[in-house]
Amino acid sequence: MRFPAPLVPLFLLFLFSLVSAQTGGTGIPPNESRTLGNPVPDVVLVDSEGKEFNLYQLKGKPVILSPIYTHCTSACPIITESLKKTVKLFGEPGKDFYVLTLTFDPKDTVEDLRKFRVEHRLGRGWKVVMVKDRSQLFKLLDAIDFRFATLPDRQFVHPNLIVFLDRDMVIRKYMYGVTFDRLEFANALRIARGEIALPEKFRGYLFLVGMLGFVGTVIFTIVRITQLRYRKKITA
Amino acid sequence: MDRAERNILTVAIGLLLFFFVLIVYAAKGLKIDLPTCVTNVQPFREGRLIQHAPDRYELHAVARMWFFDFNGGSNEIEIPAGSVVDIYLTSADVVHGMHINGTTVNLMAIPGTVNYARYRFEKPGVYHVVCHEFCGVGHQAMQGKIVVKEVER
Repeated sequence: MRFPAPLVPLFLLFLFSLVSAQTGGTGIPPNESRTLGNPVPDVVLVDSEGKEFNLYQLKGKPVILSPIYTHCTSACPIITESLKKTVKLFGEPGKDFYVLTLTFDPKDTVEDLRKFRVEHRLGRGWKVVMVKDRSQLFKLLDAIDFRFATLPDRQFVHPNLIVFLDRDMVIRKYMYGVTFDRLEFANALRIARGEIALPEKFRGYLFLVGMLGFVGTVIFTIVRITQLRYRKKITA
Repeated sequence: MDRAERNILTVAIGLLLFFFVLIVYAAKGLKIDLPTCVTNVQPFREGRLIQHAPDRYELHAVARMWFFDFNGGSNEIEIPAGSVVDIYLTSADVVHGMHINGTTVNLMAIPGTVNYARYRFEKPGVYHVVCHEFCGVGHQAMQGKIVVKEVER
């Protein structure tokens, strides 16, 4: 059976929608095209000891930012535990890079942070923090495009991810999921250290090339089919 | 193919490409947010307006025959100008629509699912909310109100 010609562009569009569809994860995933390459704001953080410091005080080393909420009973503890396991393979938090477990629950307190830290037995270099001011918290969350929905009993629906910032506090990479692949993590850390892999440099252009190529091919196909039909008609 | 016909086809394809690139470019520049269907949020039964920060809100809106429940049964809410509102919408019965007049927010309320959009209410004033999906005999009366108050500085 011949594939009906007018359906070709539709079929291609369908394929495109499949490829570009957002997959996996929970909640609303961040729009990386808006955040990658932008610096995060210099917010005042409070750690689990109640000590205040500016985020920009950590400049000079890559930062792994892990947004969680301390009352979480599902994804957040798993994220923290698997991050602990993976981080161990690449260096010491506080020395080679910083790891910030950041609570996004506006109602979390220093006591909640301390409890979370003790429960997960996080080392000294690993900081469990909250943003001091609520408006500033949302500035930081907006910078990484992290969105959550509030559920009853202080539970939240949120995407499971970690964010890699470079030594100048610029967002460089996202990793999704509750467990972290060693190779992917190594690549992300490399990017955060400024050792950019070649394909990463051209990624922005590849999108445009792909888009133009796709549209061009669709148009070419339609024109070609129309031409063929036209010629057939004339010869008939 | 006739030469003139070929020429006009070439121009048309050129224009198509030009406009497409323009759309992509403009959409990125305007930071157009598309409504998102949140698949893993249990649809809520009651409307709630949650304030996270002075200018940060979460609106859990429930559309039902024939009113919008924005906050504990009320179809009217008040927020300060400049607020960013994360709007989550679901339906308790049939398919409804929710359009906030004067904004780009236009969502479908579908039973069993939650739709999402974010909007920053910059201008003070009254934003009327209407159902834009025929939902029964009371459809024309299904409306709500978002009052955006000027912030005193």
